[in-house]
This record gives sequence, C-alpha cells and structure tokens, in this order.
Amino acid sequence: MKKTKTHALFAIANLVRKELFSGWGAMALFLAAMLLTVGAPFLVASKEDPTLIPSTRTQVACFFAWAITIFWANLRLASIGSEQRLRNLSLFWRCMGVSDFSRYLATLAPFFSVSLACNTLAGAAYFWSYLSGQQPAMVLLAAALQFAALATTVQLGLYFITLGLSAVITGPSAFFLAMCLGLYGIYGAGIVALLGGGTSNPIGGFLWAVSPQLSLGDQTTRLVFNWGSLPAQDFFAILAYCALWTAGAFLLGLGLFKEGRLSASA
Amino acid sequence: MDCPVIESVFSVGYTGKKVATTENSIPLKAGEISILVGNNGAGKTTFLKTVCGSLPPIVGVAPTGQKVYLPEELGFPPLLTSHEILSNLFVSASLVIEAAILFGIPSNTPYQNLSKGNKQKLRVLIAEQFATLTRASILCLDEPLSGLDTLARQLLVDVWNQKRHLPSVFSNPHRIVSMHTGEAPTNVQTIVVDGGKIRRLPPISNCDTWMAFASEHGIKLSASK
Repeated sequence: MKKTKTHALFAIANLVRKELFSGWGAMALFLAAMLLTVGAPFLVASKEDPTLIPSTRTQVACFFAWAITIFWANLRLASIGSEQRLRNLSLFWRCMGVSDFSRYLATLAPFFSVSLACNTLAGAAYFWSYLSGQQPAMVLLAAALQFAALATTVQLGLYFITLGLSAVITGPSAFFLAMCLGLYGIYGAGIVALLGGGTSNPIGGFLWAVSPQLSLGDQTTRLVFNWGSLPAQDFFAILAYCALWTAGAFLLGLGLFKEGRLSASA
Repeated sequence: MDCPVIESVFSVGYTGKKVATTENSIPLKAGEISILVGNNGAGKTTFLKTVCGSLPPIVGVAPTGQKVYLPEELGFPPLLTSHEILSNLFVSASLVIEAAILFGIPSNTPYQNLSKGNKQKLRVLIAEQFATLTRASILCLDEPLSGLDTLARQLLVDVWNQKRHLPSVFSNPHRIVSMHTGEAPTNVQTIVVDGGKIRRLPPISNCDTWMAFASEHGIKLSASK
C-alpha cells in the first residue's frame, strides 16, 4: 500500500513537472530567462567604467532569478493548481487514498526545484563576477549561499499561498493575490509603515510588525554592492524569520487547499 | 478475501441534504460489474463518490479498502501527448503504452487534440492500470463508455469479461441501450438509484432500453429530486 502511495506521489510530481515545461511558450520563456541569468551579465559594457562590471552583472543575474521565481513560476503554479481542480485530477488522487498534504507537497516539488536552481545560478553569477576582486572566495561563496537560502525560503512561502489560493479561486485571481502579497512584503511594508507615521508611531509600528518582511529574504543589494556575507548570527535570525513566514504560509495554503478539495467534491 | 458490501442502511448526499438511501445491502463481488442506472439528478454520481470516499455518507459507513474512481470528466495537461501522460504516470509504462496502442489511442497527439472517444479510452486505461497497481478493492467508473464508438465499447467489454478481478461499479445511466445483449459484460448486477432509493436488481438481461427496463421494474421516469 505504501509503495503504491509513493508511486502516486511520483506520478503527481512528474505530471506537474512535465506540464510546467510543456508548450513552446512556457519553455522558451523559461530558457530565455535562464540564459539571461547566466549570459546577460557578461554582455554588459566593459569599456565605460570597468569597476561597475561585477555589480551590473550581479544585478542582472539577481533580477532574472527573481523574475523567473516570482512571476513565471507563480503564474504557472496558479494555472496548474486551478486546472488540477477543474480537471477533476484532485478528486481522482483523493479517491486513490493520496492525502491532501502529500498531494500539496508533490505538486510544489517541481517549483521548489526551479526556485532553488534559479537562486543558486544567480549566486554563482555573483561569485564568478567578483572572484578576481578583493573579497576572499569563501566570503563570496558564503554570501552567494546566503542569498540562495533566504530567497528560496521566502519564495517557497509564496508558492504555498499561490497553490492554496488556486484550489479555491481561479488561476489569474490566485496569481494576482499572491503577487500583491509578495510585492507588499518585499516593497510595500516599509512604505505603509512610513504612511502610518514611521515605526516609532504606534500605528506605523503596528503595521510594520504585522506585515510580512519579505524584503529580508532579498539580499540582492548586499550582492550587488559586494558587502560580503552576513554575520552568522544575523543570517540565522533572518533565516528563522523567513522560515517562520514560510511555515505560516504553508499552513494557510494547506488549509485553502483542503477547503478547495471539499468544495470540488461537492 | 471478503467482498466489499454496501450496507443496508447507507445514505448518500451532501451536508444536510440526503439524496438517496439503500433499501437492501449490496455486495460488490470480485469479478462482478455493478451497473448503476437512474434518471438525471437521481444521485448516481453522488453514490459513486460516496462509495469511493470522496464524500462522507450521511448514514452508514462506506466500504473500506483501496478504491479507484474515474470521474466523468477527468482531464490531463492539454499539451502532453498520451505517451507522455502514461510514461509520467507509471514507472513501468511499457505495457500500458502497448495497451494504449492496441486501443487505437494516437501516441504522439497532444491530449487536447485527441477525439472525445480517445480521451475516454485513455482515461479508462489509466483507471484500470491504477486499479491493478494498487490492488484496489473497488473500481468505480463514471460513464466509462461515454463517447466510445461501437468497436471500442465492445473491445473494453471483452477486456472486462476476460480480465475482471475486482468488483467494479459503472455509472451508465442514460444509455442502457449501449449495454444490450451482445455488448454487455457477462457478470453484471444492476443498482437502480431512483426516487431517493438505491436498489439492487437482477441483470439488465433482455431490456434494450432504459424505458423498457424501468417499465419492467416499476421505476418512475420522473425527476427524482
């Protein structure tokens, strides 16, 4: 019995992975972005001001990594998630005894791989760009790994929410809501806190405290300006915060995912 | 192994709304096909979903064990070919791919471009394969012959007659005519869902149409909801 459940989980993950990259449009977009992540940094002008080359390369790599993982992957996830419900695939797996929890994780597995691959590539682009500079290789490596770990953790949380939403509402709506939350967490929280009178003001402070601080997971600036790796204590504190956000997103997404299954079976 | 039994007190429906209740217990024997018949909206799909565990019964307990349920409109990623779908679903896909070729399902045509009949053949094949792999105790197929041409129907029925090893419940409500003598599986029991009741009846035998069958067994041909 356990073997057949494992087989079913592999089948779900395989089918999602295959669908993720199916069609020329989806595949071409992904390949173009991947190539740009690795290749575009080496196309920047090198005669104007050579000191800017590593930072420009790093910025381009990080930009494309975030673009793929946040926009492309979330859009595909919202679409695949809602299609699974509309195609009765959720009902099919459920009746086979595959739990919602397992199906939730199996559906997300290919997206987690994409996120990890893109962030690692961006980290590698940073590493190679600055390798001949002042910083020791180990510091560059640590900074690159920290970037990949934090970005992947934050993005995984967003994927959980997107998949949960796509089980109860349409794909475009799920994508839009998850994007609003993601962009608010990365850029909006600070602005809203300022509008509330700054973090020293009770209202501004409250808004700041309850907002997801996803900008902590985006270490692009640190890489672009080559500030080196975060001190271990700071890194683990930020990682713990990001992991907490991802755990909360996981529970919220799973709750929505189960709710979607119930409404689909009715 | 004991055969699964649907209890004599077994009600199906949605929260707060009972749709149908059994009049007698219904054993689902290995090798036997149970054909579910009834009017539109009588509760056939609700009954199938409840037996397979997708919906909780209002009263009673659903049969236990591994089940495979094929919903009427199960879909797959539109851009994947039938070959890609099968090879991603099954670790050892060579036999099932051969079966797909035998059934005349085009290997390299994207799912969205398959005809209605070929999509249905692929779905039935996948459900059958999962039932075999998981050693399911019950296989439920909602309208398995829908969209199939005569040849494909006969081919599937022949396969069911030869290789049936587990109890199966088929919803085939609107087209008993497609299951008449010469095309029907040999080992069949009929379950009628009508007027809020679920009854076990003898095989369809010589009745060519739902009208004739309903008339013979005193089933009302009116909306049952």
